[in-house]
Amino acid sequence: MKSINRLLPLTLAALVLAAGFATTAEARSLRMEVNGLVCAFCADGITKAFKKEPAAGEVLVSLEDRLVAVDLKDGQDISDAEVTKLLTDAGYTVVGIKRSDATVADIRAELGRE
Amino acid sequence: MNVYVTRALQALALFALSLPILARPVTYAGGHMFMADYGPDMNALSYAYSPSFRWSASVGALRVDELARSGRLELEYVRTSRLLHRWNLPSAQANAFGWVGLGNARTDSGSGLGRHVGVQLDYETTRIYTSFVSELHEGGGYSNRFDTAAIGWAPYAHDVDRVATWIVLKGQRSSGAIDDSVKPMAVLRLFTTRWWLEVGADGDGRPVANLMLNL
Repeated sequence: MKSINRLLPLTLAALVLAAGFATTAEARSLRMEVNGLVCAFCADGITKAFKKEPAAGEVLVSLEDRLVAVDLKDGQDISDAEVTKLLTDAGYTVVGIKRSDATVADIRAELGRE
Repeated sequence: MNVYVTRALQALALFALSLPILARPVTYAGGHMFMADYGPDMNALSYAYSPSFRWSASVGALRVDELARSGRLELEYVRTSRLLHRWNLPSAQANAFGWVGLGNARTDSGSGLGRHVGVQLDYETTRIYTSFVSELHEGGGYSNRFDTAAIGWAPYAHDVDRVATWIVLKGQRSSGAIDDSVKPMAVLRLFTTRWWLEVGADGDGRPVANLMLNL
């Protein structure tokens, strides 16, 4: 029983880590909630910054939805720290980052911006 | 002080004020911006580069006819601008900018050096814009202060895939070497992520225009 008690936390931790890796590996896009998005002329810097990222594909910026979404290339990812730095260096404040199975095209359709 | 130098400094001050009021003195990191101004008194071209969203360096040139009736006036300047603070709010943004600049003015009779400092406070949503700009221009015995308040309204909330439309009104108070006065101006502004166009008129009904390109 002692052995089981010792193994249980390790097993749970391994499962959580595995689930995390799986989510990351399966993610097809990043979806960021961003504060300060009010001007298209200024927000173009966000698109240009993500276009320089090797793992980034199509980029969507929506002022109305306070949203930035970026397609991830197959098997690639951009860490939360990198995303936060990219957006901070572009002059904006990141409020939240989510990984999604939806592509930017899907998100565009969801927002009615096809 | 040479009368042409004085006029050149006045023109430099006026030029700085002719910059579009919604335009920020600093663009995004790695951003290049070209700008052309047309007005009843002057024509101008400038270029700005921002290594970071926190500061920019710019160079520019302009020609003024009205202030140099006895000879064409040409100006070149360098300027550095800094974002002092930015407040990123859920659906709004506010900024505090500051800048310093030096200019070289040439007329038929010689050249002179002028300097200017300024601050800008602004608050913007996708529908409303307000700003206040204060600048001090000096050179030799010349000194003049300009305070400009502006308010803009967008009839619809624009997004990056639509052309933005704004109606902007501003009032500009001048005090010092140039006659004390308050001048109104109204412009229609259209812009996308790459270009920015303004057309309008000053208080005397004279046309003004501005074009900017984001590269």
